[in-house]
Amino acid sequence: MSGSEYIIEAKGLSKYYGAVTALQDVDFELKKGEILGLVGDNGAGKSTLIRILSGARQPNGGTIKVYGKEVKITNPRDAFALGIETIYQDLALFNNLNFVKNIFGGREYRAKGLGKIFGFADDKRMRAEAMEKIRDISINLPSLDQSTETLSGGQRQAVAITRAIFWGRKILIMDEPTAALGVKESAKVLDMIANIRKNVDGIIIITHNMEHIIRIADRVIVLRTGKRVGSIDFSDYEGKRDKLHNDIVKLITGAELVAS
Amino acid sequence: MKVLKKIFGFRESTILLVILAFAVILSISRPPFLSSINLFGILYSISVNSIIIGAMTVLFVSGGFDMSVGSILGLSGIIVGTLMVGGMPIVPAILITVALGIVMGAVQGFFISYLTINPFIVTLAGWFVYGALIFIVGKGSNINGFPKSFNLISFYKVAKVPVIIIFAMVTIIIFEVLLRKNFFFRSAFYIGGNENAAELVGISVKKIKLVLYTLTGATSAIAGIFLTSRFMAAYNVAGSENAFQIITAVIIGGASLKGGRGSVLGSFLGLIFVALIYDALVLYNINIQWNKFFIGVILIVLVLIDEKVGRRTAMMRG
Repeated sequence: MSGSEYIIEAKGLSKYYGAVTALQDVDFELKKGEILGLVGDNGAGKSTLIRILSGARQPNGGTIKVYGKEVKITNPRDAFALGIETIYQDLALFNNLNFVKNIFGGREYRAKGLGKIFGFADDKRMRAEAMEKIRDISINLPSLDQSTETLSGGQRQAVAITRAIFWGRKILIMDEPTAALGVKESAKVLDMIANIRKNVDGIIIITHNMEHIIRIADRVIVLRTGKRVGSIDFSDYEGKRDKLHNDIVKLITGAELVAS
Repeated sequence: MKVLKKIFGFRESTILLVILAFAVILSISRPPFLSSINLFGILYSISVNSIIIGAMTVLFVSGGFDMSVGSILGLSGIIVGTLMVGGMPIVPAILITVALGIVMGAVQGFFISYLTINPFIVTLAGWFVYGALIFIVGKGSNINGFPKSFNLISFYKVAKVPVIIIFAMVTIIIFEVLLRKNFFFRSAFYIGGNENAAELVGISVKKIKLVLYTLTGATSAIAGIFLTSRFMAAYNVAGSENAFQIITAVIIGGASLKGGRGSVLGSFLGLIFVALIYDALVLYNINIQWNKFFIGVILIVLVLIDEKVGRRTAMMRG
């Protein structure tokens, strides 16, 4: 694959917290159209890596290219401007407000005509566009008027994802999207992620759940104790699901597993 | 009920129905209730707090809180009175007083939003400091002897209704509409719902909080001027209970101390409700001290219902 097809390409990323090495000389790449799993044990450096990519932390060393251009991501707004949005487990939703308000928070459309003088927001237009988007991404919400705190975990994910896509994010980073969900809800969220692939350029998913990542990802990058220990392309494992699972776990733990 | 719900939301329509039932019972059992003297008396009694309660509600929705409104109200009466007694014409005296109210609110807003000190602490401190200034500036005495026309600020009548009541109602309507529709004011719902997320989506949280505290300061000063003109005297005890009355009404009206919900209309109905309890005690000739007893009980019951039964109302509309 030629370098120009990488939408994110990081080289030699390092991050130290005092004497603790969170990330050491890590390379990272996301290909166009890809769903990439970022896996590793607790403390492997996954969180640090995505925090760097989303502007929440600054690396001590290394370079990042986004769409082929070298960039500095010093805060979340920088990441947004590059089209990168990270959806953390808390989802950063306004739980007291409904779907439409959550989509448009901070970017409400201003009314035209008389309403403009009073600084009114254009509720009708926002509602119409939110509904259109919901159909586009084909997610199910019980009602546009319910506050998000009354929605299920999966529906709340849907709200956060829709918001990101609505505002033109092309690279989504999802931190443990299924961790807090039951079996049924998890399945729905996985379907949704597979479904929104067409709306974005790439998706990075952090997870501990091997079943989930094998089900939807194209590739995983494995971190262990702050270092990159490998990348596994799923297309090399057609019909060899168990071996794939074992090989990933092997990389994560560093232990040799006896294949059954 | 369904229609009311649609128009007002659950909490507002509930209080409205309770108020109406209350009014019906009172007008049957105590006919003087319906006399214009009594009804205007109720309106006068809530007019000063009505001027402040809109700004206070927006503040609650944003997750904020202002204990100091009563002290700013009282101090503003003393300031406008002192200026006029010192020979300053009415209009500049009023303008200077409102400007000082803005400064008093803005100082607190600055401490809260930019120095991130807890709003309860800051405005409690404001309550002390501005409250002390009432006695320092006023030299411990009440002030009177204002030009007669100062009284017209409250009592000039438009279509038989005194200006103080018109001003109060207009303030309520303006804040209700702004909180529902205006993109600046309703960002309070976002800030109160999730302050970090609000910052992340680009809402100028600090700036908005500063403005909201400035507004409670400004409206408290205006309320203080009206109160002074109504009684043609600035009393040094004025404002000592207003913060409690206003905050009580805001909570009865459906706002939460946690932020994220509330409506100006609900708060206003809360004010009317509290005023009706007081009026009923007077009409039934019951010791007025029971007033606070009942309000205390009602407050606890309402918050219990909110917390335990769980309620999803008084949310942002549109």
